[in-house]
Amino acid sequence: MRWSRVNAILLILLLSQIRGRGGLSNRWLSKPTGLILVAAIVFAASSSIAYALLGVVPEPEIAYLRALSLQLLSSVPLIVLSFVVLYGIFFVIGDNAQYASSEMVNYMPISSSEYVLASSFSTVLSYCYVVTGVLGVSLALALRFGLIGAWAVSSLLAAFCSVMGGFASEIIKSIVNRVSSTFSKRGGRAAILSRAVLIVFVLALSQVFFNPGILFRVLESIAPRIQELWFVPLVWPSIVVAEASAGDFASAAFFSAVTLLFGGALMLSAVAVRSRYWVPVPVTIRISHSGHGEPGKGSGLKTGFGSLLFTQAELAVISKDIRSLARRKEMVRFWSIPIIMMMPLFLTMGSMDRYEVYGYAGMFSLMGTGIFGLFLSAMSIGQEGKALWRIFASPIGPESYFKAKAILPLSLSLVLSLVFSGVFSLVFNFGPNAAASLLVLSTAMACISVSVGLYFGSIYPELSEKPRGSYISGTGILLSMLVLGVAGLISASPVISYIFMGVGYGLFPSLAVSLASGLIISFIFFTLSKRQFQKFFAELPA
Amino acid sequence: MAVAVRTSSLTKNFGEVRAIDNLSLDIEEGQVYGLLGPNGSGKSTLMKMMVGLIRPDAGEISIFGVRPYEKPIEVRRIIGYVPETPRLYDFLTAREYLEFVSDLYGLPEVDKRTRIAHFLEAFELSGREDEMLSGYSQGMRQKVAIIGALLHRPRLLIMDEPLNGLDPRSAKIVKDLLNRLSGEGVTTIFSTHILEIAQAICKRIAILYGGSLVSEGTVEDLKGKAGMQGSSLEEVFLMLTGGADVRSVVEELSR
Repeated sequence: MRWSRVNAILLILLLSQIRGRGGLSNRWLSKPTGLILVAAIVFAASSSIAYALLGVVPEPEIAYLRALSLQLLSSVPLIVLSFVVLYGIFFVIGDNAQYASSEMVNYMPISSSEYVLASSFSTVLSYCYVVTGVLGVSLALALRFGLIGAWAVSSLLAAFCSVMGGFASEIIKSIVNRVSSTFSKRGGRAAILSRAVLIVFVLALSQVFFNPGILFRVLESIAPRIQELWFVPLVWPSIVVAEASAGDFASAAFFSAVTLLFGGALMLSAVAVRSRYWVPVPVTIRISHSGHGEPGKGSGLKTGFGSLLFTQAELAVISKDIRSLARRKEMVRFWSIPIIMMMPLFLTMGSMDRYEVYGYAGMFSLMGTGIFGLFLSAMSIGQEGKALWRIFASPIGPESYFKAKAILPLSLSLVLSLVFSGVFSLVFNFGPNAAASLLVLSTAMACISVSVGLYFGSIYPELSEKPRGSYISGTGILLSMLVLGVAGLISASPVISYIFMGVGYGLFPSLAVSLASGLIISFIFFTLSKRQFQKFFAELPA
Repeated sequence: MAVAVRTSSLTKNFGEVRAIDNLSLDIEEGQVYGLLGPNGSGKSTLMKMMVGLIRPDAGEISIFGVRPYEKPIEVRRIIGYVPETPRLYDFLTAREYLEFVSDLYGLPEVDKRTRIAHFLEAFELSGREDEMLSGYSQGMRQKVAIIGALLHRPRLLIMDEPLNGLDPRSAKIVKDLLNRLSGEGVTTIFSTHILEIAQAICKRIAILYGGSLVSEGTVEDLKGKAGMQGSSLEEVFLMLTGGADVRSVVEELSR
């Protein structure tokens, strides 16, 4: 292994990740040094802000925090590991990212270990500001409660865990790519469906395993007796911090050694799967077997009810987008949103009381519907990529295109709002009032999210097909999430005010006001989006 | 003959760069018209303005008397366009893509299926029409893009380097097809860097350089205007576009 080669690949992968994020027009920020500066600023800001906040926290909470801070410090390595794996997984979802930045291993004189090391470090470095943010907050706690020694051990292990997270991501990337490729080779719609189901399953499972929310709940219950979990490698770093703080240095040294061994084993596994599978080249996928020259079946949309509501061109765009949603690997991730939103609630409901379940069910329903609708609609233009010329060169106007682009995310989000409210109401045995509230708020959220997403997606489309194609610029997604949050809050506030503060004339009038305000907000954003589509159609973006 | 495409004092800037500079051109209906020029000479920009993908900064452009940036839908109904690098929807099969394009142009179901089958057969894509475009080679994608431009029987074909990546048989089919379509009154404007092809199939040729028109006419006209009657089109082209010093460059590179 030559470190100069590792360094060279690392630099390329890092640049591809940084520049692939979009929205980085600043030349300086789009370099690795800029990233390190951002990480340092995040560290300084998070530690200062957290330390300042600790100064104004009331005494009873301080006592609680003091008791919890050592547990939090011991959790830091695990939290860091979770974040790195989580973000590492996101990278593999985009087809472009997969081939643009890792296909070189197939034909360049690079060994699998060199590639794995470089790729893992690039994953770690590209999200190092998350790690420094966590370390900054934990430093504030350590300074406030005199736990600097524990913080030093915790930070060291967090740094190591971030590298371990990079190795774990590499393993997941290789396996997902391999699975995806194997399914593709078999061909047919069944293969595409199986691939989608598998990707959703892997994503949901990975994110549940590494979901900080779930981890916190687990840690809260197990942290006081974390040593009892000595058989789980992921908690070994936490045991090191706990044992070192308790003065049991022999035990701390032992768990440090096995942590190192575990990290080494992860690296060897990552190298093994990478050298076994390398990066699969794109394979030809055959969809149907209608035979030589025979016409295809066509889309069911184009006959019956669909043809009454939409023109032939609009139906063509809708059909294409449905296929895009079903077949593109980077689109399949959105299918996992409902599962990811439901799983934490199901996994942790045992420790919740009735009102907590109501609160979390409401939160996850609104967030799930909102995120799903927002992303799906915000990407509606950007997902065309460079193939947008085909739309612009065809006789389809902005109104028709807008209609076609709005209907799919709106329909799917409305269905999802029904699913969320139905499933939560049934599983948690909600009464009619709670079920109706959930349904009305989710429905309003579905309409708002799609209208807001379409608006910002048409202002900030990301059409470049660079690694990690996001279909909407960073600014666009941030603004849209902010606006969605505010709009969602405005819409839900009559119901929230009634339930929590007793303000209003009853539940059903509050629900009616919530729904009406949601629909008004949606109407405003749909109108704005329609105008924006007309502006967008004036000239093919470069 | 009616004028299919007319530009007058057409100008387009991209920031500091003037892509099209005061260009005036008439292209008659039914011609196969070649646009030649080195990279960055404005050929693709001009073609995009014809389709209405780019708005001119100054001057006029009309397609059969209609300004494409004013009535883009009307113009696009009668145009078939193949861009320089036709990016297709990789997640669709060739058949699905062509059905999508047919639907955008509103082709009736029966015509759509017949024409798709006919073109797939002609371009030797039959049997592979149900494979996703992501697995297609560059040449196969180019064929699909060309079929997509022909399906709705356009009055005006705009093709930006259409023969890129095509095998000799398919290139021959395209060339013969353009000649035949010309006989049926279809106007074709196409750009190419292969001067022999331009010479063989274009009735008239325009040479662009730095966004300006440096010469226009039949091949013989171009030679005459350049005072190079006995020369080849390549020599005329290199002389007009400042590329005549290739020998010294080659000598420099081979040192």
